[in-house]
Amino acid sequence: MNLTVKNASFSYDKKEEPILKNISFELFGGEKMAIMGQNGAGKTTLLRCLCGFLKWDSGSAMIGDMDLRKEKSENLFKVISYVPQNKVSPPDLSVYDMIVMGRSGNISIFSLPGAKDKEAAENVIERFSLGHIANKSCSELSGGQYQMVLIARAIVNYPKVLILDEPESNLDYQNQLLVLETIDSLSKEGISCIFNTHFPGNAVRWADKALMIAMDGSYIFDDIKKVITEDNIRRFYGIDACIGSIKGEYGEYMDIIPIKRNQ
Amino acid sequence: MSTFKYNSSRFGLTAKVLLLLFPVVIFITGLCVGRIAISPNEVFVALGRFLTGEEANGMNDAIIRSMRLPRLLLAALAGAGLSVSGAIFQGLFSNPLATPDTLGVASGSGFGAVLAMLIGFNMTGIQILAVLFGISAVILTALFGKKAPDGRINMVLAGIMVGSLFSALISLVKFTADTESQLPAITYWLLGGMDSAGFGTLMLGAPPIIICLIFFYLIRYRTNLLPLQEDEAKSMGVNIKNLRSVCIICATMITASCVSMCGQVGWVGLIVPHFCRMLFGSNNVKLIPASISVGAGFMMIVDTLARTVSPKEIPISVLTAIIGAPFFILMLRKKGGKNI
Repeated sequence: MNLTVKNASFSYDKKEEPILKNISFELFGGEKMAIMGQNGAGKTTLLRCLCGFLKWDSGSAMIGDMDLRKEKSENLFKVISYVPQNKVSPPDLSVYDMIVMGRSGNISIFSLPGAKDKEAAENVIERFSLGHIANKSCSELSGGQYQMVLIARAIVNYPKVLILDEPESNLDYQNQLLVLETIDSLSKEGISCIFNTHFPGNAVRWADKALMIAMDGSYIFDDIKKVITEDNIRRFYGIDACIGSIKGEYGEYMDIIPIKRNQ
Repeated sequence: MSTFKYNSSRFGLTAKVLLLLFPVVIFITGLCVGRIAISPNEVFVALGRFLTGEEANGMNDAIIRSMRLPRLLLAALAGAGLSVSGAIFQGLFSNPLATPDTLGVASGSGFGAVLAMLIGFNMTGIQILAVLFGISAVILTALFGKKAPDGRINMVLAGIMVGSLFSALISLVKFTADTESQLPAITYWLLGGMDSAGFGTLMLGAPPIIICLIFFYLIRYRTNLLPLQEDEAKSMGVNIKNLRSVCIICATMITASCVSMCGQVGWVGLIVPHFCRMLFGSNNVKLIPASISVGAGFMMIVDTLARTVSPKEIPISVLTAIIGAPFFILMLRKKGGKNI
């Protein structure tokens, strides 16, 4: 399904300049979009607006023909799934219970999870090969394992759009690749994925589109290869960087090396 | 090709049967023991006569009907109620140190009760004032604590403030009270005890506890969402604000009703849920029923000890701490703090 945002603005303090100004972008089913920018530029704010945790001041946001600004959250989260940043300590629930919890929106307040909910969870557990830790408490998992559990919990609802807050932060190479490969394979099934990242190298390798936000609220949205340029890195991150291609066994890949801060 | 098997062994049939039997066995034992021992057979006969509405016949009937039965019922309700509201508050604030008193309910109720004693109200008056002040304390806490991005830590801080405010007011009442008659009564009452129990007290105090316990039992799966971050919980498609408010209201009703009947009973709301977590894990589907059963049983044991081990009745909160603290530390060492 297409996600279309038009002229959307948001400010925390309505008297001040908006932190997100007239954002417009369109994402097609199965596309991956990276949101980039400095700390405090509004990446997380944008994600939170897309999920409806924060209300846009103006503009429109649609998924297919569903109006994100007006839809009730219980319907909204049948289409969107949100993967929170993996930074607070995980609750002491088993991996299995945690993944079943993703179905909460389908379980009425007085009910327990039904056969359908359990089956959905078991399918995801098998797909992500989490069987060996399914009965373990989330509080005993490594960072990489817990991130995969959070993604598993998000897709147990068969979403059309997956929104991830810094999914590969705080992970080692192995787990970064595991998470990014998972996002890639989900997008191949038609799920649109939107994620924040502090790693332009990961974005250029894995994303199709990029939305880069500057501290003054301006932004650019385009194909990832067009967004990652030395000029843009200078403008949006305030640093000088070298961008080039590295040739290796697996072909030619683009990378970005930060050189020095601009004064 | 199923690669894993969901491990439900920790809450299998054996555990369920034991949890069901535990409070029943304690209840029957509690009816039997005391200064005058009554054999189980006689207890069943007397209970049968009571349940079929027959006239009381003999001393056994009198002891059971007017003393042991209401006491044990009150102990069971208070134990189950305080344990479940403790478990709920620990989830709500995702803080293992939360207790039923975190929002200042118990201090507020305590103040209401001692104020009623100072004025000279009867038991009904004490109960009503205790519940009213308990609820007021939580409303105060909610008003002070709500203005914050993630209001939970502010709620806890506001609760501590409101709690200490009402503790100070309790001291003020004690200070003003008549040292010959009122002060000892107030002091004993604050230490907690089931001796006020009678069917009159229960008629007023039991229904809110029972209703809220049934409610928590029914929504026990949904309460698993309480510890999640606000955004995370919202993204489950659930109205987390309403859920939190309803849980605070019900846990407050339970705690205020308990304090209104048996004074400030400490520790139960902390020990029992943690003990159950160590045995059955943190999933509220298991934790809530386990807390009801273990809480009720534990409190009946404590009350039975309170009225049997020494000629003078020992205050409940003294016993809960003396039994609870070492037992809890032992469990903690054995489990290495896992599941806490």
